[in-house]
Amino acid sequence: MLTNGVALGAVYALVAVSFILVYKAVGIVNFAAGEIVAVGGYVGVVLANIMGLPLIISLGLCVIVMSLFGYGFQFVVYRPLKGKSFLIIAISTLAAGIILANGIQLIFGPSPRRLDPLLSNPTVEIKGVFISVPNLIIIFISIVTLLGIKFLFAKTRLGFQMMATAQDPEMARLLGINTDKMVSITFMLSFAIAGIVGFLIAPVLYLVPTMGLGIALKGFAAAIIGGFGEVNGAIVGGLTIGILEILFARYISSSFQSLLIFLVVLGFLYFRPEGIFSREIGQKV
Amino acid sequence: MSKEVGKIDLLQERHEEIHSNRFEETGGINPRYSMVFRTVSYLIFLGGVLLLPSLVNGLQLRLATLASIWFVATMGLQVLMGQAGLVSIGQAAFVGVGAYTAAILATKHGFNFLLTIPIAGISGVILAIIVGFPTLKLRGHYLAIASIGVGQIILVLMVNWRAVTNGMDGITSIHRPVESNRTYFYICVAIGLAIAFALYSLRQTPVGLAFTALRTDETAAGAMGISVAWHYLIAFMISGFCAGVAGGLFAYNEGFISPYGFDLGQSIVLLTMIIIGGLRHISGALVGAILLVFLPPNLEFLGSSYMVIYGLAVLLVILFAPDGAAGALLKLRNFLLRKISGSNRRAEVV
Repeated sequence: MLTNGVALGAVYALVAVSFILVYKAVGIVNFAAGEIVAVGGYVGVVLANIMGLPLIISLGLCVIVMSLFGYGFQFVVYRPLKGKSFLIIAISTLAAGIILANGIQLIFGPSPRRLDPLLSNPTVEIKGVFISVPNLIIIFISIVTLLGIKFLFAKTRLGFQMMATAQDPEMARLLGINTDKMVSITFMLSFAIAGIVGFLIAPVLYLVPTMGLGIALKGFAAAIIGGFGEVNGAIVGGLTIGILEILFARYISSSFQSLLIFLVVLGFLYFRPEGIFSREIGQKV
Repeated sequence: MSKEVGKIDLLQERHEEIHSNRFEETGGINPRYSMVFRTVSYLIFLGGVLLLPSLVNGLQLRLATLASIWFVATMGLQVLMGQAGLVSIGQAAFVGVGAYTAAILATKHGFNFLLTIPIAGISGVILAIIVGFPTLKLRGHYLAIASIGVGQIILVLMVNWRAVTNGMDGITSIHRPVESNRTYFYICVAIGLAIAFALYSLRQTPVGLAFTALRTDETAAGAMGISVAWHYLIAFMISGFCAGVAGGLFAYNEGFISPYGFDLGQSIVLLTMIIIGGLRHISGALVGAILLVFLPPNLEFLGSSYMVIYGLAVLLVILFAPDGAAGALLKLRNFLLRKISGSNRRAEVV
């Protein structure tokens, strides 16, 4: 049961990281984040179920396809609107979400799809506790992905350049960083992560065209709890949401579970808008 | 030095140029024409509204009623987003609270229509106050996400608080005060126009001006002594009132309500109305509501792809006409009037 929560939390953390990357790089909140995860899942379905490729190869291809998708996405939704108000860009991403969700529905129909499970035996027994293998795989791949991102930003030149672009685009450009390229890479990375999430949840949850909303909301919740814009925070936030969700569903009420989650989020927004790791946020005049 | 003098000369010339142009203050438009145009367009609009029920079939009249109801809800968003500059992606939840308030009062307590509609509006205001206190210190994306969260909380309550809301089954047999569709249409339009007039007048009051100041520069407005929190709360309350009234009208119009009509999707539809209509204009709410109510049923020939088209339309409007349809119409009007004024002026000079 706890692994359920952790696996769910890992997924939410990845979603949160996926759009925090974009938020930090270009200052926009991608309200289509959930739909992009859904696209990732459906790409997985096409590759693995319809084309019959092995799962590992499908996952790799899915990541590549999604990166290209992210590269294209920015030219429609972000670049033409550079410098416009928050509201305008937020709505353009919302519109993109509507297009994606309904595009999926057009192509695949409204009935649920599902990736074939990775293994035939879905549980293993460890010291008398049954743990589901898909959950373990989700946790494992999530950890690998998150470590990869941490490594990228902590150790590599590319990561530093991306961070510099996010912090001060003008200064980064003056220092000879190709900021346009960095923004493109950020979008690609974000979408690749979303693709991984989609692929991971496809064998566990059923894919439906309208699934994006729920995932995006939990991702936002994770990001808020973790303090918007922190990768570490997103991980903690994601795990918190995932575990709380399972606990609420189990011990309080499954029908009021999402209400409680949102109350927690609102509580955070009110009392600790800077997230679980306290840090002063100033307002730029 | 000489450079400076040259600059001043240029300024002087520019100054004279401006004052030689009689219509400069009105953007090159003869105020008389603008007045005539306004009167004529109001008359055409009113005539159209009065005649509409006789001209169209039952379904279209229903859609027109729905458009006038969403017009009310969207006006609230116009004040909140277009004037005060706050974002809400939870407007449908306020509409829902208004609808449930009206429905419960009407069916369980036998309240009269004349009472339930104002109370529905007040329920929206009360919700705005409850929600406003914790969320209005948030800005931008935080507020947007919080508004989604509030919307979801209210939706969960509607679905699961069966004792009050009857869950997914909803509340049935809400009877209209008037039998005829035509009269109900007139009632909705009248309420819509009354609120529109009130909001239009509000724009020139200190409160309305404070909204504009807050939208353009919150910090500066605060430094000028405008109470930031209080004015944001007022904007939120106005928005909640409009949504509540719209909800009440909606409940009577449909005769049946369920949580389904007040989800995030509906919030996004309302948001889209004001964006496509034009965020900066109260008339934008009207144009947007008409477009988004009448277009989807007429796009049915596209089959299930119409939602994709719908999203594309929003994206295109945002990309190419950020001022929306009302903004485009106003530009067209100014262009035409300038043409007329311009040709007239030349005639006078000759």
